[in-house]
Amino acid sequence: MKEGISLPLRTRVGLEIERQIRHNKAKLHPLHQLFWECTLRCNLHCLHCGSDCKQDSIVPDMPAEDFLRVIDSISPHVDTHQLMIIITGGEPLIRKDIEYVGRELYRREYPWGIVSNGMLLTEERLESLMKAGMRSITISLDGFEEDHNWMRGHKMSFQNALRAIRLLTKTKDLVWDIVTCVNQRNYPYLREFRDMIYEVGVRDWRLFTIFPVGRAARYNELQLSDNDFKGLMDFIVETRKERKIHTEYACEGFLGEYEAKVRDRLYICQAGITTASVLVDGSISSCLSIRYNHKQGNIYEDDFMDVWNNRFEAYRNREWARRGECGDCKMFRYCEGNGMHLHDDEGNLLLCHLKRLRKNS
Amino acid sequence: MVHIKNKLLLTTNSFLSFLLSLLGFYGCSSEGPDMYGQPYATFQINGNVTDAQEKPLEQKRIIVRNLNYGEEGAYRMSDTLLTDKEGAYLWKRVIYNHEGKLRVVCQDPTKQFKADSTEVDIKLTEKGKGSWNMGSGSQTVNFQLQENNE
Repeated sequence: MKEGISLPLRTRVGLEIERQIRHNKAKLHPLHQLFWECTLRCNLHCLHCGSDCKQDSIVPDMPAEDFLRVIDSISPHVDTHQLMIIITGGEPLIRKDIEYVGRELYRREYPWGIVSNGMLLTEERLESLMKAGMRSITISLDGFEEDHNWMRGHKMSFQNALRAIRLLTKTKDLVWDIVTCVNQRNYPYLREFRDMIYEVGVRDWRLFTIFPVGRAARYNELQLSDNDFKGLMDFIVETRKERKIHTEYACEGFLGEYEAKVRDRLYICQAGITTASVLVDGSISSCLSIRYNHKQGNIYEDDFMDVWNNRFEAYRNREWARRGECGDCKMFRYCEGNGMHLHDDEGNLLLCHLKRLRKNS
Repeated sequence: MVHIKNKLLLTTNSFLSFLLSLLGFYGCSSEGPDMYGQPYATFQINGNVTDAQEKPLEQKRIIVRNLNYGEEGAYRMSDTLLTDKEGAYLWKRVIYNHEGKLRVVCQDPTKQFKADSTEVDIKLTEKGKGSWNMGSGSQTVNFQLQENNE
């Protein structure tokens, strides 16, 4: 992007400070979030799934003891209270031993949470997870019934997700939010949908848009037009001003003039800086949006902390991304090539959020 | 050297985060607002250890086990705590279950006195500020140890 981008002085100063914070953090790389992809099995068949998971995945689940061994190797090197373990999948609740893993994490004084589609979150299961020390949960809800079910590939998925959300509204000592994938089908009625989830009791809402990876690459209906993408940003700004539901756009990209208007924080991609993951086959990577192309090691071959401390160079120094359309973009100093997950196997940028917004300005 | 360098980077980031907050941006140096955290409380147990004649006993070991983690207690809760010259002790911790029971054990490393223990309910008497701080509470547990005649 060769043309200059006009940002208010305050935003520009903020971005400069955030840039320095990021560089310092990259040197420190304090591990604060660890995702565990415990299974690829799933009871839904989501159109946008980046994992390409299915009910009877041919990839076996990672044994709980293998993951706990990683946790035990990490424990001497971190403040356990500052490292959140997020159990994800596939659908983690398909596994019967999540409570066992949770209790073991709790015993070691790690906070932990899950990301779920809510299908299996009954009152009994929620109580059992809470007793095992679960402290946070994210449920996916992608619109009203017809569109949610279309997206999730299951006729009961909306009812089950809504039942799970209603349970969460009555649960104390639990931080929870819902996450919505905004697409061409649910975009036109986002305001009505917002009002509905507010009535149900949702107070924290994250919205994200599709990037062309996994199954999502095959469905045009999942992608918003550039015009609608800008409309989504305006919708989030409007909703945040209302202060009824704490609403944020996901952490996935640099947003230029919308920085700090649609998220609490200025943009920073935490992948490999504070965020790591253990994938189902043992791969050591970063956030779950990043697939196997940027893996840094494997728990069955390497020591996790050794990998975390001594690899991840491509995550912590993004100069390699200064090429192609990013090569002479003046915003590169702030976005450093956008989210790590938005690069293909060769390192080329798949999607520039800023470019989408600039097309409509 | 690495330790000093890291401290310097942390201090710099704290200062930069402060500057961000002055500009009206979210300035906390952690990753997110409240999504990833854990409820905690501060709890303290204090008391005195004496013999049958109520004479203060020095250098008696106090062990506190969190029964939420089973009889063996918790990882990290087993630091050595000994009574002072007045036979007094003070155990104070941030705890991550703000309900349930603790077991307080008093042992004599010299084996001159028999060990004793009691259970304490975790009850918070002061409410905490903020979404994760559940508050604080305290209990007094005194021990009167009996001579070990075995």
